[in-house]
Amino acid sequence: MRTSTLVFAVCIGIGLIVGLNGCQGVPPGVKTPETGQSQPPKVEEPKRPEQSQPKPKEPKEVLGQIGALSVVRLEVYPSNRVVTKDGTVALNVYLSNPGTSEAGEDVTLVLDGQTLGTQRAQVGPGQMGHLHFQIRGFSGPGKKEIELAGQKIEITVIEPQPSRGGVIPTDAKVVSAAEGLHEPGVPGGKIVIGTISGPKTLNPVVAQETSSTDVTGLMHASLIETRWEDYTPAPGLAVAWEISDDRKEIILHLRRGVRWSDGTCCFTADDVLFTYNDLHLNPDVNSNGRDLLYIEGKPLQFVKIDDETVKVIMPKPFRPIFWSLTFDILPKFKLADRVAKLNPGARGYFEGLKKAIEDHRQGLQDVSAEKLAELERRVAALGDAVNAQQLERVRASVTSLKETLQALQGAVPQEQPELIEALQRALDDAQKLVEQAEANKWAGVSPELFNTTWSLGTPASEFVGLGPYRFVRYDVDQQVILERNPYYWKVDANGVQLPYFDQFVFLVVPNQDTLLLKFQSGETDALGPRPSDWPLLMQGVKDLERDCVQKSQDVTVCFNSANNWKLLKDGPTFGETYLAFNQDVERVNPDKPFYKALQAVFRSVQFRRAIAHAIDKESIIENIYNGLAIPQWSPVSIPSPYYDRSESFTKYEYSLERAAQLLDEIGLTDIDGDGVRNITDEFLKNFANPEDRPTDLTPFGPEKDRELEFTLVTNSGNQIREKIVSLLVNDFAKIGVKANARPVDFNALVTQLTSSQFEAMVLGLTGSPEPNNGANVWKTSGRLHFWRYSSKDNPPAWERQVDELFDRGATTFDEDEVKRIYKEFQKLVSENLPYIYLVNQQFLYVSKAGLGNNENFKPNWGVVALADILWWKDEPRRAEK
Amino acid sequence: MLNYIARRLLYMIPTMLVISIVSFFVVQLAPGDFLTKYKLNERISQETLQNIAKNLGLEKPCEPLEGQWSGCMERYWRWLKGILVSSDSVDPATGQRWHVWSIDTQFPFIHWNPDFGFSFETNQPVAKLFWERLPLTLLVTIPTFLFAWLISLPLGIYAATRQYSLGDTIFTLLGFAGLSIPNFFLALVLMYWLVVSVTPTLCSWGWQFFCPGQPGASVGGLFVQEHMGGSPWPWDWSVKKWLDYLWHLWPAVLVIGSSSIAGLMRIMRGQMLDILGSQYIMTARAKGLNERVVIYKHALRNALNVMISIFGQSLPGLIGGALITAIVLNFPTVERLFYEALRAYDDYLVQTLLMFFAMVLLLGNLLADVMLAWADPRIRYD
Repeated sequence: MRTSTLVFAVCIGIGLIVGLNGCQGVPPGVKTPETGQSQPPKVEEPKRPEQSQPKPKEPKEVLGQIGALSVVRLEVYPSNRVVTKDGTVALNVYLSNPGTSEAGEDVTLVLDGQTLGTQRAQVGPGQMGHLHFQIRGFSGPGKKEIELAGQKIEITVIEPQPSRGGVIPTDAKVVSAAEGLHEPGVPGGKIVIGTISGPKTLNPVVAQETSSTDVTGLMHASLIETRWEDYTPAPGLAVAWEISDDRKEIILHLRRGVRWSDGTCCFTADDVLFTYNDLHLNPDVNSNGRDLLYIEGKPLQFVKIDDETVKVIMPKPFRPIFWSLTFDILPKFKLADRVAKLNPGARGYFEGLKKAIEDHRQGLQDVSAEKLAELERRVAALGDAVNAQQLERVRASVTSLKETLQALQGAVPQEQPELIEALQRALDDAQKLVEQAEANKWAGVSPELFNTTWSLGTPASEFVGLGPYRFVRYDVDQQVILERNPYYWKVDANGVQLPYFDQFVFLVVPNQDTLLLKFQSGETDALGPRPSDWPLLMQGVKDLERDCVQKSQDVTVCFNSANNWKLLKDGPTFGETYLAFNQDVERVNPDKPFYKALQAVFRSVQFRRAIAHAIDKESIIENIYNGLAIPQWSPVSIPSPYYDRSESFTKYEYSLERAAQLLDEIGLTDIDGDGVRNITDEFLKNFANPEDRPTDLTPFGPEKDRELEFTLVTNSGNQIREKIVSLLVNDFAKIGVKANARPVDFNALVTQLTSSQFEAMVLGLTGSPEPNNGANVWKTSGRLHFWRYSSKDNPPAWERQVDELFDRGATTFDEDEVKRIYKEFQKLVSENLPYIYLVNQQFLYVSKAGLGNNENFKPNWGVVALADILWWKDEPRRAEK
Repeated sequence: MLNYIARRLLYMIPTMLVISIVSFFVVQLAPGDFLTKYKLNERISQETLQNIAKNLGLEKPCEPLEGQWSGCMERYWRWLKGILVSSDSVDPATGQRWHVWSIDTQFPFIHWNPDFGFSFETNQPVAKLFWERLPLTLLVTIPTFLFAWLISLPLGIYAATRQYSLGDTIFTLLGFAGLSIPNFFLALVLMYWLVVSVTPTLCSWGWQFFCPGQPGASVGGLFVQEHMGGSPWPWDWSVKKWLDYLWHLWPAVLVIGSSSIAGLMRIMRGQMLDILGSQYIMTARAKGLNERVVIYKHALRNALNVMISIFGQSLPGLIGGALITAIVLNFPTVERLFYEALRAYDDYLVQTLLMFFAMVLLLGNLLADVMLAWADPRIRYD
């Protein structure tokens, strides 16, 4: 159970982030000024036409033609084409030059018949380029028509309604139906959600578990969000982005006028750089997402272009890059003084100063040996003063040191700018040193400090974010209270500022049964029930025809009128449960020949296929999941867009005959008639994989002693897995394979897995929409390749293919091609069965009937993901304080 | 007497030292450590793990079962040193010394401010986590304790004086029923029954207190959501919060109490029977003493000696007694902290709590011995 929680935590930490607030020179608590009709539409200064050097790409279809250039693609932000009156519409035009000589064409942007501006595209022969346009602010609400590159785009402009006690930013995001907001709501009220554990920390950078990230996720927002309908990136704090034509750079255009939750204006590129460069990429910080910021061992670079623009540079093209841009953006003005890297203290500045001089000692020596000697004397004096922590002495030393530095600077000839620069650095450091000393910051901040910042003991006023809610308080082990952030930067289609709820409460209930009772008693408003709870909750639904509505292929919503509940049953979730054999089982005990024989069996794909045929998935679904699960055959989570919907992978239908036949065929027969098959000499001689086939059978002893028997482990405490294991043991017994179930404590299990000390296991790793997140499991070099670590040095052919598919999957940008790649991967795995996938639980969800906007979401993330768009349809709940 | 107490307290010091070693190794014997669970996380790399291990001081392994001892001494010493040596540990969240009862602020002449380490998971001082939960823990356990003792002692006396009577049989039966039903199960059944039938019925009778949204409709926890937080001390509460508390308390009192009543009652009964059968009781009766005096003055005072010893031993139960029940009933208590720390391999927290439970046991025994001396004039420690 632990694994799932943790892996899930990371997904949530980066996936879920919504949120925040507005600005533009307006003091907190003041309504956004109504910008009148007078404000003319503005056009951004033309931006450089991006050019690509590498291979020309085959445009799939051409939208239109401008002179010699073909319009390949037109991107419009926001994708729902609804924008507030002061908001930004951004457009990217991608052009290709099919000709043989360089071509330049003017591209004109027209709004409602009025030309706003022109940019020139210069594209080399056979290459691609793109232009970026922005329209900021509109004359008034209504439909507008934009014309660009021969394409007509209709957008809707809405007028935001006044903020309730805060500010709506200039660039508010209008949340659309594609992001779950089907019914614009009415604000007010509070929602209470049960959670199994309280937060462990409120620092979103170091939080590792869902119990913490669920809370911090509501307090912060990210540059890019995930659109739940199809898991594509949607604008968050970045209003639009451009991807360079070589796919190695992304330029993010940030939302303007977004205020922090304490009303401070405003969020800028500095906060983005602070979050990524100074926190997540800072080795002092125990970042929970750092590994997502490295591509093949090299970090992403975040560069500020201006206050509203950030460039992300990738070491190589990387398709799943958007996951790396979904981190919570944190306030530099609140946190900068908690980061050691940014606060070296007087001591740290002294070291910097000393180093600047020492590094250029030779050059300075040539300029003036005498002055250098004096300088070094004064540096030493300053060092003593700093060590003694005496402010007066430091002041005096710095004053004299500065004189020397300036004198030296004057003496340096112009042709040595690096010396002047070094001296200037030293001067700056000296200045900062005094400032630090005056602030009594001698030693600087401890590298540990940030990890303990924003812990549970921190006063609420210290927490500042850009998310839909603000932290109020945590009553230890009882509840977490959050309140609406009045500076949040999203509005609904009616222009009402989100979120709708005034309060969001997490009730901490550590037991699933109690959690259910708390929902039944009406104390919590929503619940993610277990399959075993489902019949009880459905009791009030008398007429399935009348009370249930099929919302989509997967989603069914039922109304329990007796209790006034809404029950939602969705497709399968991301969690995966599988059975795996240790194909390096020899390592359990290299001295015992039996393990070598067992390894030959486990490495035999026919054996694994026989086992797959022997698993009665239907009975697992009926007996353990109450029928609320779906058989799984593929290593990619079913809700993922990369899941092979044509299901061309191999499925192994339940057939004991087929299983027995397969085992008989490879010579795993029961020769001593005790009901358990033996690893016969015949199998070892003829059917084991060539590399496992022993040349001499003598050490193996008599074949009737080699029973086909193994231990099947799983983590104890996970009731569902324990039950699955006992059903599997039964299934295997029917085909003469003896498995011994053994639940093992989770930590012990981890040790067994990572050191190849298990025989067979049932486990689950939490999947995610992005198959590349499983690279650690599937690539032969992966740290979690437990079923066959030896593949790293000696991979079978199909595993080499998987390695290659993963490499290609991460660097290919054509979505159809990516789908083909992962389809191939699913097929390979299903044929070779390193993991035998079992079943996947359906997503179940129940809430009070009056909760709006929670019926049509696909993502399986629960209420927290929808925290900013849910609302109460019943008036009394809205009136609650 | 004071001399005796002082001596006992002194003896406790070496005992606690031994207990600290035992607590430490009990925790380390479990396979793996706090970071093991992250090893299965698809997205945490080896470097990140090493970095966290360094920050938490878990670089060198301590797995006595696998013969890896290299980190043990270091970890133990770091923990013990924090406790022994006065430290000025501050709460990193506020940059101030965390604001709870600490020895050297109360008694400045004792320059000792022990640092029991920090929780790996929450990065907070262990002592703070403990103190935060103590008031509400006592609010659950003291009433439960009182209930169990105040019911079982009279019942034991009653059963002994009317041995094999109908009353004796009924109470014994009830007691054993309470003892044998698993607490968590009883708690669940009780809560289910309250939610599904009791409160809806009471509400339909027009009792507003039991209608949805009111304290009476709530099960589990100590308060309804609106009353959580605020001062943990009962003298600061409003009447409504008091009612809320009492309504949430009684299932706990019943469930936890029911399991200890049988045992206490049977011991009390057995003791009483032993003494009632002895010759001096016969003498007392023979000389015509009132039966009341015989029982309460002559029998009970002697029978109580054992109960006092048991009382001393059960003191740790006040703090760490009803683990599973506390979780099912959703009480924010110390035992829940202990349980979660155990599951998370939060070493310092587990070790310190184990030590604390042991210390309360030692103190309980001392208290029992002192009370014995007070209750029984024959006992002298000088």
